[in-house]
Amino acid sequence: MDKVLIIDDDEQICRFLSRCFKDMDVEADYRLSLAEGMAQISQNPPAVVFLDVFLPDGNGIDAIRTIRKFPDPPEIIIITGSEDPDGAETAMHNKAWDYIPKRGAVSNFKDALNRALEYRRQTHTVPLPGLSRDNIIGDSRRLNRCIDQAAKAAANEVPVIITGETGTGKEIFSKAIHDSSPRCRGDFVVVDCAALPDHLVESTLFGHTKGAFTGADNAKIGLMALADRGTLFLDEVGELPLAIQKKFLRALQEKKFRPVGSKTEIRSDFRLICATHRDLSGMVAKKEFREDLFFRLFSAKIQLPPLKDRDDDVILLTRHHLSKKARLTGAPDWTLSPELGEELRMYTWPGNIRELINTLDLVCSDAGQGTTLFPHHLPPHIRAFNIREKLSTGSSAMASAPMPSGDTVDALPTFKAHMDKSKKAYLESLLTLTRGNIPEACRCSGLSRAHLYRLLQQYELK
Amino acid sequence: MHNLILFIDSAAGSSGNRFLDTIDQRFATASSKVFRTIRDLENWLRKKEDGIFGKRIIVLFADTRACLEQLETSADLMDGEQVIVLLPDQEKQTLEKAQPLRPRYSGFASGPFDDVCDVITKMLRR
Repeated sequence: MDKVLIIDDDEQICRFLSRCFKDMDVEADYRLSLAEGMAQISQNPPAVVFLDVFLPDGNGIDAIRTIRKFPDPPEIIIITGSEDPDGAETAMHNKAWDYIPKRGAVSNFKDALNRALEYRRQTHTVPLPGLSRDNIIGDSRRLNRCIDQAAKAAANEVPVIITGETGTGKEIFSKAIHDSSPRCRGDFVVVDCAALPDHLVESTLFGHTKGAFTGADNAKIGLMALADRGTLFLDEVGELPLAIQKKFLRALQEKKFRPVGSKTEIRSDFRLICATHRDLSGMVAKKEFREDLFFRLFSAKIQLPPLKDRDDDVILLTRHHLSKKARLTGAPDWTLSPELGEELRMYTWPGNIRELINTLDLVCSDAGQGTTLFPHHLPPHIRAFNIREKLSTGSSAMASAPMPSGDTVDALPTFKAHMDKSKKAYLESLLTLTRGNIPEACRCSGLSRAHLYRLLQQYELK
Repeated sequence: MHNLILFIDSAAGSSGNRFLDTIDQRFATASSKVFRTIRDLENWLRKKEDGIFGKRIIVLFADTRACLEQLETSADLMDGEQVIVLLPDQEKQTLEKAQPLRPRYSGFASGPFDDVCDVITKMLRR
């Protein structure tokens, strides 16, 4: 039986709605404050939450984002006594299911609940296919979110646009979507818009007949035709010349096009995935990119995070690359010294994964016959950056860290006592913010489950 | 710094030498390395021990389907590399065989090589 939770400080409303839902084969429960409601969602997740806006301990609309962060979050229906268009808009932006005035008819509540439950049944009975992620290494929260989005994209046919800084793995993600989609038996065809000079773009995409232009000594099949029943990957789509964009949009809409110099049209049933590191909406505003093509491309968007925002993925990627390299070269496995691990974590990797891999190749080369890799094998510019970072962090930490009070040296606690106090405060915040969810706390803190339990025991926290 | 990594099989016909001459003339200042056997290319891709790091473009001259098929077996080693291929023809089957290499551009091995050189020029400017 589906569970419904009503969070409203007006008990009469709670009881009234519970009674209304009784004949709908749902199990309705209610809580009178936001905190109680959150605890209930965490312990006994409902399918749908009816959420009041003005609660004694918080605002329902503000709480939507937090609720949506729960694993398998419920659908949220906002109920309010004072309708506010701005509040309704915010609720919709935050992906609430509906926004219903309390003074409305009972059928409004029932209809909204029915629709939300129906949607949930559909989305929960069709399991998401897994993503073929052989080459996607990492386990950070931000990466996993992108993997979920890519898995959804693989299951349908809408155009996908993947954005992110250079070297974040846009092409690898695109290939993973192709490999996990029903089109995986077809070709994955790459068009690198940034590599093609303007005069070659049209003939490369659409193909050309023999003699279509000076130098066209032979007919050439276009990449769009080659992607028939497969995936066309347009890398750096922001570089696609404006003059070609109109013809490309038509081909995208109608799945047919005319090769340069040809009088007949060719059909091609391709799925489109695009990537860019540029701000396409900004380009639209400057009339550098067609608005109609922009909207056509933006059906599904995946924003890949830069490597510096991917927690400990830098170490997972390093280990993966080193072991792959050892396997390919037949060399013994390289060992990553803890100090080098720290340096790799500290650096900001402006060139992202591509820079990391190039750096690791250099590190291995510099290590020669040695099998343990140390910080001094790193290129000098990375070591210099890290040293500067350490010095500035050290001095700012000295300036801003909450220091123990006391005017004299004697009033200072021992270093151990001060550290214990800081650690306990950190653990308390961690537990509060994750609502005692241990797997979540491990993910946020980077601590292993065993280590976290040891610390909780040590500091007598539950 | 950009590097050009060229593969031109020692068994390639005269067009292979013409291509090499064209590259030498058009990209005299680029740092380049030429491999004449697939085994040498594979060994380099595995180890990359000669100090050629950073941005590079790998240009594969495959003037026969047999040569292309051999290169196809090394596709895993070229993961993440910027690859350009020159093919014996532009038949659909030939182009399909080249797709595992994920080329940024494919041209004709019989020449003329202006289009390939224009693409290399643009890629070197990145």
